[in-house]
Amino acid sequence: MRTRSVLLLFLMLFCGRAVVAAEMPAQKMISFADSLFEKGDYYRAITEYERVIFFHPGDPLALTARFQIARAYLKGDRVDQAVERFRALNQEFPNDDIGKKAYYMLGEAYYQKREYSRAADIFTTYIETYPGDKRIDACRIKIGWSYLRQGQWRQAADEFEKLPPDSPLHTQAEGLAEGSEKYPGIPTKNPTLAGGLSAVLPGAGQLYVNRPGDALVSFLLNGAFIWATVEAFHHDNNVTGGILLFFESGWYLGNIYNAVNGANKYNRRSEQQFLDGLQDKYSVSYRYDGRGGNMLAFTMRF
Amino acid sequence: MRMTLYERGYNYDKGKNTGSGPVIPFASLATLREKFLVDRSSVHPLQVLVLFILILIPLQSSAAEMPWGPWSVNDDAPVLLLKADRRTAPTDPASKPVPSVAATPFLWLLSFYQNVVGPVVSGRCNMYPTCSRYSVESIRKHGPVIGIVMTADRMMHELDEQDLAPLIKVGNRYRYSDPVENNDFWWYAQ
Repeated sequence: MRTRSVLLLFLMLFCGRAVVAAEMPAQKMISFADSLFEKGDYYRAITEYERVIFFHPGDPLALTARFQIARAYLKGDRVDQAVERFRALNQEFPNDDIGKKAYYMLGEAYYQKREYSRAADIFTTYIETYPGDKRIDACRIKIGWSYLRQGQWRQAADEFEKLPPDSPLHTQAEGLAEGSEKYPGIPTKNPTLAGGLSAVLPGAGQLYVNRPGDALVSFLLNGAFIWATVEAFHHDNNVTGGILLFFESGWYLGNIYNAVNGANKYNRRSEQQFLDGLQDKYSVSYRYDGRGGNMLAFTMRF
Repeated sequence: MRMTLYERGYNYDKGKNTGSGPVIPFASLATLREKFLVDRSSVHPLQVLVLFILILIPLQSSAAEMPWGPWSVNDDAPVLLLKADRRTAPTDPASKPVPSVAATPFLWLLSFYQNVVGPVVSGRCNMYPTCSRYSVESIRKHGPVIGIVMTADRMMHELDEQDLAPLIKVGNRYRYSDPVENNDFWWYAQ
């Protein structure tokens, strides 16, 4: 009898906990999901948002949960899933704020995916579809950035300059327009020149693109193999000479490729540093607090 | 008064081993009840509690040994991998480019190096993927001629690349990340 009582007590304890979990209000559930989201645990956050949708499908917070799921996918680098969900939300609620937000985030998703042309199209459509909306200025900034990422600095500067003087983002836009004008001044190396230099003297192109270690390795390797090949042929060791020539041709072509590759990497790095610097200096972003609240956040380094 | 099963005259010889599992003694339900509930009047709640604890302890320890993290067996419920996991995750074999016939001898040579020479001289390459792996990938992707040229480039640029490439942890070792895409981005559209 006593055993049964103890077992019953255990069962009651477990069942009690299960009932409490099922009856938890949506607000509490979403708070927990938000806390996971803030920690960067997007995978578990998605599960918790799904829980809100499952247990409280009629609650307005279920819609917030759907939006947050899409954001979690975006933050978790699952951009395709995020795009799918943002698009679905916009198509379902095109004229509600959640639908507008979803469309803006769709542009952000394409931007994160480095599909800058598509991102610019989305933001342009946003401006055309929702004229007078509070996110218009942020959209213009994003269009400018999309152009800048594609190297179209003139179009970027034009887009930044479109922001009206009474906009809270006007100062940032001015700075960005000014920064865009400096785009042609980014230090670059000519890949053809680098390749040509290395073709004449192995290692010279690498020196030109600021890679002295590569220059030394290239010069020594090619020098040693050329010398060995010449010596082999000079001593009538044609087979050895042929084998060495085969290897040397690989090193020689690799040396030219190395110089051209180095120049392209240098240019990519320079552009990245320039854009990152600009981003750090005039960062503008839309933030969401997970309750449907919007915040326009901008930072300016001085 | 407790009695062992032996004392109660339990006949183990009736058990029959079928060869496919452990010996299952042939016993009636009543015998099994006798086995586990020896003297029901003497069971104390503390004994039940101890039993619960004994059941829960192995569960907890096995849970602690299991690597904790998201998992999935369904494409409809995918998992989010960490960036570091994605770098080291095995790539889908279907996505690998099929090597040409001309590339095959080079891939054999590289395979020979990786399986026979590599284990003896391993640990020299600080890059990720390693130079031989990089060579296999570039030959598979671009064919033997460009693949070999890219391999030569890789062996030459190791020194300076270590100042520029991001450091990632692969297994129990840190390596500089320098995939094929880092060296063909300027002429090959992904």
